[in-house]
Amino acid sequence: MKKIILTLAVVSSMIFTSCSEDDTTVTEAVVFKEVKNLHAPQTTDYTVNPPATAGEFTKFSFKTGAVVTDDSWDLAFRGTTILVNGGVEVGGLVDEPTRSGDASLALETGTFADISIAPVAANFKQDVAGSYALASGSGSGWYTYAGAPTHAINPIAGKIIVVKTIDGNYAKMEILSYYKDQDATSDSRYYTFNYVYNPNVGDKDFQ
Amino acid sequence: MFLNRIIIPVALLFTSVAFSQEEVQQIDSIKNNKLDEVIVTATRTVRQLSSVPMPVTLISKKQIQQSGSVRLSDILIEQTGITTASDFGGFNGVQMQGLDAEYTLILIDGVPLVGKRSGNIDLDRISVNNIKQIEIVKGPSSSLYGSDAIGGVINIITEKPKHDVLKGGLQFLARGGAKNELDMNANLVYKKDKLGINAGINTNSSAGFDLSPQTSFKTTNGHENFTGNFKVLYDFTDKLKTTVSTRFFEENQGNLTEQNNQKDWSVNVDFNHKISDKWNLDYTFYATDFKTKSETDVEVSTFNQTLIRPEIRSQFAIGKLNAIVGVGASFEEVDRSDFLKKEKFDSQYVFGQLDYNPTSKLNVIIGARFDNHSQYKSAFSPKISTRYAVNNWLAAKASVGYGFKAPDFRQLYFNFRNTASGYVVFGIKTLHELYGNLPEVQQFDTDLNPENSIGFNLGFELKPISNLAININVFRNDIEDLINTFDTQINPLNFNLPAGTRVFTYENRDRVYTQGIELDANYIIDDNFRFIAGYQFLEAKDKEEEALINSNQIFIRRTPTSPSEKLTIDNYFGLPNRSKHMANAKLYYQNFEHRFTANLRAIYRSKYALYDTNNSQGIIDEYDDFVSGNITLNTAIEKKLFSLLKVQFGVDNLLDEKGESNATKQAFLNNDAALQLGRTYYGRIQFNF
Repeated sequence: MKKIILTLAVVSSMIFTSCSEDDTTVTEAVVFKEVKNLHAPQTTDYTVNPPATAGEFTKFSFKTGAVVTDDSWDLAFRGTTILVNGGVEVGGLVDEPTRSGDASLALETGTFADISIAPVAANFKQDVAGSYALASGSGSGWYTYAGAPTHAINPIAGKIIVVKTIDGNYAKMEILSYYKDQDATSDSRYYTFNYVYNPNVGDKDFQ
Repeated sequence: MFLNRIIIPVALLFTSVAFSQEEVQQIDSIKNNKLDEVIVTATRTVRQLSSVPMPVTLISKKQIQQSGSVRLSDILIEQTGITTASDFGGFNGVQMQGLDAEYTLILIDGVPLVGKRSGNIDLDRISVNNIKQIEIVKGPSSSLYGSDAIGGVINIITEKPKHDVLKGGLQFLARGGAKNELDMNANLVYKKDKLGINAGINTNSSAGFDLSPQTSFKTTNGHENFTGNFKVLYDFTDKLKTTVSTRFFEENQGNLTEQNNQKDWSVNVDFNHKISDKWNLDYTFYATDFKTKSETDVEVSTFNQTLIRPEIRSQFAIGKLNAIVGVGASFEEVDRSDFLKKEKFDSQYVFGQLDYNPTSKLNVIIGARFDNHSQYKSAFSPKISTRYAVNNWLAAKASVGYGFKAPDFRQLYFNFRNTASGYVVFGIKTLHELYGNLPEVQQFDTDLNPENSIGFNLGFELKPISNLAININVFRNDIEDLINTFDTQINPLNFNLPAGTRVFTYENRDRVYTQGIELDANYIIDDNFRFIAGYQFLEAKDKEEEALINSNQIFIRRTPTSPSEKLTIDNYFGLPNRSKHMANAKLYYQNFEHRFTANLRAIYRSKYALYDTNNSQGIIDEYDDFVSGNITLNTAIEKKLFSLLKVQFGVDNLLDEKGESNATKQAFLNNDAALQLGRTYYGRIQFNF
């Protein structure tokens, strides 16, 4: 009987000490959010060869959780193209925004829940001349293109984009749909995605 | 236009044959056909069908005619374990033992058809007019035939008159319903003394059909084609005989904006020299050419492939041993749009086979072939087969062999640039020729291996009662070094290509297997009724995909926009276009008194996938959309009138199964591949003398 009481005492003291440790570092809880119908329009002139695509990129900030128009963006969307606010211009793009920050991204494989911590620094990439941090084209980045007759753009299952934002925070996102109201028969270039943002700078934890 | 050119010779032939009628006894009994069942494809020697140690299907002329078949695909699709699937070019190819069309070799009288523009030999190119029988050998046969004989060999045997004869026929078939079609044949077989002739012409035309009228393009455009066969046999002496066969085919197909023209011809010269009763030699010279031209308002693309193949074969018998050795060479050329220049393949080969009967119950065949090639690594293909007759109602047979498929011209020489859509595809040789100085390119192999396989077949033949025959065959094919395209991930600016362009080339990567069991039953109910049934269970899977799933690399969505989940191996379905279950059941009726025949044939295939519809990296799983299982029911009735005339009426797809429920699935919206041609009716008049 004494042994049990002693054990309980030790355990409870451990719990209390660990609790008090937590209390010393103030961490904000991660933010989970769903963004619906982020519109990323583009125009394409098919009268020239190769066809010329243009239009303002839609810029998104994880810190505010909303579309921004200034330099405080982390990712920028236009059609199926996603830019990161870090590195240099890919080039050959009309209306390409200049990179003002040092954001980077990693394309990870897993379920959204499984990616519980941001990957090692080596996995993160920035845009460079001629090549995107998030590879473009069917099957190599976040989506596949079904071709004729449906021409559907579908997000590849198990592709999670982990972003190191311009402020050095980490976020993970899973794109769920490229169509308005997640209806494949509706208009395209409307992103729906889930994301988790850790408001603590440099903290890689997503839980 | 071109049909006119045909009708006149048909008319001429008609008038000439009308005056040269000769009474030839027609014998229609089943028993008589039985005796005649010999095949040449399995061993390249004449063998009785029932004694061959490999799985073999024989389709007789009678079966072809009773089924109202017009093109090769019509009759193949009714056979156990065989179905068809289209490639990117829309060409209908054969699927056998779960392998794609490019892994089955198609021969006419033992020599290969060429013209795989985008993978498949188009089965609709081949008229079944003038065919004596179709021989299908399943399992690898590269030990005799070299490249492409992985899944098996389909050999179309044309008629070769052996005794003095004069016979011929005219045939007219018209089809309506879901598709219209007109098919006309004229044939003449003649032999007197030393000279034999077999001539035939066929024309086939259709306005095409459209399974989804709401789309702007037709499923199949209208076409007109013409096939001409001419074979001359001449016996210089009893010991030296020659056969010269030629074939010509031309087809025009298209619509207002696109015109496709296909032409192929071939000539095959064979000298058979019988040195003694136990030793004979064959000298063959085969040349063929296949050309296509596609024209649209903006571009013209052409494809031209030539093959020349001399071959010498020697066959001799020593006691219980029958041996065959052969040596040959292939000179192949392809000139096409999207190649830098005309490309050439040269290869030399040698093969040998020992066919040994140590006892009357046991037969062992050992064969091997070596193919040496100028443009890819060489291939050695051995095979061993054996058959043991346990007793008079049970025999077991087993075979194991290597098969290979040479890399095709595309995989080596493609220079396909679609920069407007953001990608280019280079054949591995072209990539190195153009950009070999780039270090990123130097990391890739300069050569491709032939795709290669090992195939096992284990079978039993049962004859529990005299009028019932059952065949069981278990098979497994392991194929390695499959050639895939892949994204090189090289920065396109290094190739002077626009930013964002993806550069693809080819590599040997995938490993797949197919396995299954095949059952065939042939039951002669009585003098009038005969029942044939077949079933195949099939698994066709990609080993790389299995490895990825097992290492938790593959994710799926249950619905198109639900969050990703891990795919488990239990939910992995396998390769596209494969049905787990395929079955057929055919009932034939023959009435001797009133001289008519009737039949009812049902063909079933269970659900199959077209492609990955839930974005799991191309992997097909149980949560994908499938084309539902379906039954096609065909029927035909044929009546003999007077002594020369046969009239046939038939209905294909009697139940009008169109697969419309598939079209409601989002992934298959406007996709004709998920739909089937509806009911068609045909009538045929056949005039034989």
